[in-house]
Amino acid sequence: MNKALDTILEECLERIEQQGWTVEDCLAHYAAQRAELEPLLRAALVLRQARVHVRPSEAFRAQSAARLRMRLLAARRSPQARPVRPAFGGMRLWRLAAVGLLVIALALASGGLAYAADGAAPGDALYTLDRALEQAQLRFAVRSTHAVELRLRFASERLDEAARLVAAGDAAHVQQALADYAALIAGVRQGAEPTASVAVGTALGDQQVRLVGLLLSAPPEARPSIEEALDISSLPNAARAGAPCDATQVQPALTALAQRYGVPYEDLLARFCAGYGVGTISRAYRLSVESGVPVDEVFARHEAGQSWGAIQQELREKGGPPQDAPGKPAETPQPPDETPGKSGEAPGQSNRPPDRTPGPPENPPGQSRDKDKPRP
Amino acid sequence: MTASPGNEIENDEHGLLKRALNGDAEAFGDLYLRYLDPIYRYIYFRVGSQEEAEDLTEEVFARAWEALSTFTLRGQPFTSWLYRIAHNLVVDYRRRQRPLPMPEEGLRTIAAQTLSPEEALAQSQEVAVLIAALRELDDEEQQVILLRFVQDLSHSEVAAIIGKSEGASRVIQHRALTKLQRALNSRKMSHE
Repeated sequence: MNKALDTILEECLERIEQQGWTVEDCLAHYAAQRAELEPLLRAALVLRQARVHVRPSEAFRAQSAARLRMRLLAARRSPQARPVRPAFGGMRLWRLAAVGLLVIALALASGGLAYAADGAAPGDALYTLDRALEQAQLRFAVRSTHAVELRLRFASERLDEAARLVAAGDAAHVQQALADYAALIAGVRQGAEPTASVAVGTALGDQQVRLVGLLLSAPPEARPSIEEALDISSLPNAARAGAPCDATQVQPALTALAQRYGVPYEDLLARFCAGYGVGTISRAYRLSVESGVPVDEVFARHEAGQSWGAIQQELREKGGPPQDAPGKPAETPQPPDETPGKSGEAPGQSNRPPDRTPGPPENPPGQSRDKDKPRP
Repeated sequence: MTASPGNEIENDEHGLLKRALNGDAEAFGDLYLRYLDPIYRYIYFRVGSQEEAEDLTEEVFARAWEALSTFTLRGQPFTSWLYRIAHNLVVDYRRRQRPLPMPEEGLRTIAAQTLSPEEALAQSQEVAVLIAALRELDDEEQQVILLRFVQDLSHSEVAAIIGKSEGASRVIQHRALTKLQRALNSRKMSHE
């Protein structure tokens, strides 16, 4: 195509789309090029018109961001992106594994060191040692089901550590513990075999309730990390539009959230079945409470393509400073009910209560419990 | 001099990319939301299946994240890089899936908020016919006209993505549109 004909084609498309010209108008206007122009113009118009109607479904849009987050955590990250760990920064994986083996040998020789490391949390000198020991155990897990069990156990330890850090008000290290938790769960979800799904689902359901418990007492800056971890542990496997929604695993966590925000469990269930993870649902309701904007509007903004970061920023500008901004007392945590939700305990689910970590002070003056209810 | 809205978007993208390059997954998530629709649309027209398009779209961004350290801010635009990844994935997919399944016809392929069910169905059938006609073009021809008329890219942007000159992009476009119109006509005639 010569440049002149290309320019004419673009001009015709523009006039047809923006000035109401017909194809015939254009061909008449460029009568000399009519024979060559007509097939090009008609084909280009078919493409232009078709593009308007093709876009990802809302269900995919809602689910894919959470799925991608999980994959990003599990994926090999770019060298620039890899956080440098103080004790092992710059070491290659095989060297880390070798160190892990050495550590195991040392730990066997001196059980006290391994014991001490096992109780370490992010920020402790022995935490890196604890992680190295775990990595070494994972490398030597022969069966995939054993690796899944190990990851679930280590993930549970991360939650224990996060709970202790929340109690100590150490938001930065809470975030690190939860990032490590999320990476372990991403590995669980990738490696879990169908035969292990009930046991894995039960363990994840249990961990979700503990995460909701943490959410209630965590410092505000740590809450997005908790919500992220909740999303990763609650994301439906291979969720697709039209597939039946199985909420068995997340029922206790949704019940706890429903109680926390004083909204019907069924509302949260509907959001989950629309493809939102528990963490995302929690985030939307939290933003609604913080800003006074109806929760439907918060979800609508996300469905319109706004990122959660952008929504949060806009709503905070609109609604003033968040009620529980750093420096202000956060709302009183309302522990989730230990009993099953209204629709009954799901088979295979545990009744384990969430962690009861000491929470922040009571409601700030002038802030009633009702204010915590998102507007419908 | 005031910044144009276009410049603001570019600067915003630059900032997000810088953060993503430093390992900020939230910034990468914002880039994902920004480019989800165009990448999905490009892939959908190439594969003709909603499920495959969804899987491949996610794969594009997962691969982009993994390879982000190889992306240079001063090199090609981020979108061009994404389209290259998408193209490579589609070519791999098509190689594995021979013969390609028939393009889907049905309401779920169409964003039908503003259409009646009948209109949406008709539109969906038209899209399926278009995708079937596109398959009569080779990979490069499909790539060029989709980037030009569905993704609205300029010849210089297309040229950067396909690794050829602007002149070559024009020649491919001419050949591809002619072939596409011929394929659409023959389908129309056989239908009548």
